[in-house]
Amino acid sequence: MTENAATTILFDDSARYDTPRPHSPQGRRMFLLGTGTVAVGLIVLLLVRMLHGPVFGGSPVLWTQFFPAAEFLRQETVTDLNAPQADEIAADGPQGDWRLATLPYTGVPRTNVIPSASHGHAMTSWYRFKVAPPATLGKMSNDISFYLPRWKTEGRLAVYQNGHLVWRSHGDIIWNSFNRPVLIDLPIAGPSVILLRMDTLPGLGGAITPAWVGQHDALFWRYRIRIALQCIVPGVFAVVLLSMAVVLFFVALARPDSDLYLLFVFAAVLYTTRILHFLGPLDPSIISPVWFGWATVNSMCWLIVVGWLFCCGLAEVEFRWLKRLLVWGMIACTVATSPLFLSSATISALALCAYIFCFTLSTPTMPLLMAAMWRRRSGSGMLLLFWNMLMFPIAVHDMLMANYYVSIGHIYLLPYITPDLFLSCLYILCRRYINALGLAERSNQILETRLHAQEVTLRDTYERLHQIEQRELLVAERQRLMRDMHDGLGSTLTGAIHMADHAASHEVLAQTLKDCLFDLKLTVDSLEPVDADLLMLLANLRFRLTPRLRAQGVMLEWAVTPLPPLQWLTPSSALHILRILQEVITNILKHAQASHIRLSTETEPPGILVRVEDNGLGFCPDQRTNEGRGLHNICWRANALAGRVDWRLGNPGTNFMLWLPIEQPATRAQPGSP
Amino acid sequence: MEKPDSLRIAILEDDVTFHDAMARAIAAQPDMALHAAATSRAAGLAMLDGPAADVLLADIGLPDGSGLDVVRAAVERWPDCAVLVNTTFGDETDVMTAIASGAVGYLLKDSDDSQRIADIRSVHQGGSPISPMIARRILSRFRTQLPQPAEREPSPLSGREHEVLQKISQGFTSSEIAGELQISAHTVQTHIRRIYRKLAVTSRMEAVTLGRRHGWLND
Repeated sequence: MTENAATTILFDDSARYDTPRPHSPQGRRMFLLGTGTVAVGLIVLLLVRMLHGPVFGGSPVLWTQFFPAAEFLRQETVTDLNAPQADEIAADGPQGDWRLATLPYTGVPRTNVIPSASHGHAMTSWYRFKVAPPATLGKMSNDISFYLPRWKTEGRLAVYQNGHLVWRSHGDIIWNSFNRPVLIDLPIAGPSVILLRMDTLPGLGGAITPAWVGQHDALFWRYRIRIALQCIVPGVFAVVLLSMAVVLFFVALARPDSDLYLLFVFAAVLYTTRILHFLGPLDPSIISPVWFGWATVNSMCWLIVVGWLFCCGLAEVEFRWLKRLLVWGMIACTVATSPLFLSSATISALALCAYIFCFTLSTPTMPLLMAAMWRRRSGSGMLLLFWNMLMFPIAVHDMLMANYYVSIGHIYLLPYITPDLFLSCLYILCRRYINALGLAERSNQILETRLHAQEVTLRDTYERLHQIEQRELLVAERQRLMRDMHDGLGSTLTGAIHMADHAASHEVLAQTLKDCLFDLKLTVDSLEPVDADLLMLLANLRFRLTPRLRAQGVMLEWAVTPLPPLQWLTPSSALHILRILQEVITNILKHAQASHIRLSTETEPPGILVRVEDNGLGFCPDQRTNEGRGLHNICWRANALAGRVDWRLGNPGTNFMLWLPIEQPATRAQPGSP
Repeated sequence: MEKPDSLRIAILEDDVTFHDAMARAIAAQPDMALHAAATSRAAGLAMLDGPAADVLLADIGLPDGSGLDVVRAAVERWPDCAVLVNTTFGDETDVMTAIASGAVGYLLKDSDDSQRIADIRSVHQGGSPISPMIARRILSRFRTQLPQPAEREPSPLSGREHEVLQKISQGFTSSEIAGELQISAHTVQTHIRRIYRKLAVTSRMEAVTLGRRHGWLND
């Protein structure tokens, strides 16, 4: 269920990034968990239903004979273990001191004292079973099988029925078999004698479990369950873990700080190597037996070390010296046990020492690791440590079993406990992954929030700047208008009041007030947007002047041409231009006695020209000093526009010329008041 | 007293001086008569219940509201009456809204009596006063009008109308334009009157479109 839960959570969270979820995360989790439980339940139910028939409701007509004991004989022989066993022997086996042995029976105990020179000596154990089927069986079936759940030795096995060979073991004599059940079809269905001949290398042990003889259908399920538990399931575990390791390997490849992932990958590879041991028999033509032995024994030791390193890494506790000792010790062990120096049999004998070395060194650190996990409140870490510690009694059990101290009818448990360890690792790694995803999501949110805050700040700043700019613009505009009112409108109105006080004539007073209104109109016009079009401004001036010109009977010839846009034509510049032309035309009307005025424009890059010509009395600025103030004003205004003015005597009359730049110089000195 | 075939003129004005000046100027004309007068928005709207005038001179800033309401109502109630708005400056904002509301021109308050009388006559004869600034404003307004379905769209400015507006915005007078385009000054006046009408229609259409877009009106 650990795996189930982990993947459930994993998928739940990863889905968040792929598609919008139709339901709440809790609902989805409940749904997935429910579905998973139902699926597991269904599978269990199916298995029970499948096994129910053969195991419990076994047909009463099927016959089996169980052998809880066998006749046993041990001999010390000179046997060439590389030559095949004899095909025919005496039906009752060799003569000797046969005695009854209760199965499982260790016929040859392990001494671990390997004779320096065995020279073909072997321990040969004989097991004899008397098969006695009921007389009726012959009519029913001749499909009789012999089933041996486990035989174990560093040697080989042969099975005879009535002296004829029916089965012999194959493969390397050291690694061929300690784990594979035997199911043999017997050629003779009637009463017979079955002989097992087990040849064992001197100093190493040999044993068999109780055996069965019976109809095949009555025995096959026992065989199937055994082979599944002993070989197939560990193999499947290995494949599953390897595929997880592949995924984690690529994660480790992509992430710099992923030592734990790499340790998991190592552990999966080591486990797989170790499991090869359980999948025997080993065929020496595929892998050299010595290298196979070296790899499987060392993989187990390394697995212990890697598991320990994983726990240390997870608890973030460092036992620097112990770590060095274990790793370098294991490296030394790996090198020392390499087939370059030792034989296959020696490696097998040394395996136990290596296991004990690893366990004794790593086990004392477990309480410290547990304390570290407790401090971190890491439930999964403690679970992992629990599994790791559980490994110890399991390993002891398996060791004892391997050394014939525990019944060989048991099943080796390490292949089962180790995947659990892996699943806890995987669970922890998944949690880390999910947490990392959550963290990334949160940081994204935080980033977004910050970004938003910065945007707001930026907008505020911009807004403030804009307001300041607007305010400054308003202040400037107000100052300009004030100055204009003060100089123009204000003084004219003051003058009018003086005139009224001194009983000036109505015409003069009316004219003064009209001038005043005219000034005001020009000010208003200067505020109208003209879109950089000087012609527009001139047109409006004409519109304003028309009544006056008409009143004085002066003819205005309008000879304007389209002009390029003047981007600098702001209200204040516009007012400057209007005032210049107003002054010039007023002068003509007042003093020149002209009957015809011609206003024309020209484009003369980099500027434009506004020309006002009249046919009145000629006028040159220096001749009329009493008009100084007006002329000074004109010059000042033209200067403020980075333009210039010029008067020339015409024939007759005066030519006035206002030159303005199309582009204003980038830095124009702010004009002061005249 | 009102002569049978004289030009009937109604005045909506709260400025007593201007009102009196206008009344005197009209009385001085043998073919003109002061038809009705009002000094507030309410009185102006009430005045529209009476018989129609030929020309209405309307002020926009009234003590009890905007004279534009009276202008709009007058266009409905006195369809043959030419509405002129009184303005001091003839500036864009006032005049443009008045024209968009259906006025056909404006009367400058500070021009002399004879000029004002001439303007009234001209309006009655189908002409419309215009200033370069207003011409310019109308041009840009028609350039940026709201996109609408073609069948509802009032015909945009004709080429000639466009040309006339362009010339006015450059400062040329009606007679100068007439000379240049080789048409009569009266035709130029007619063009301007038509342009004003289009502006008013366009404004109404824009209001309707805007209303529909905001869901204020149902189809």
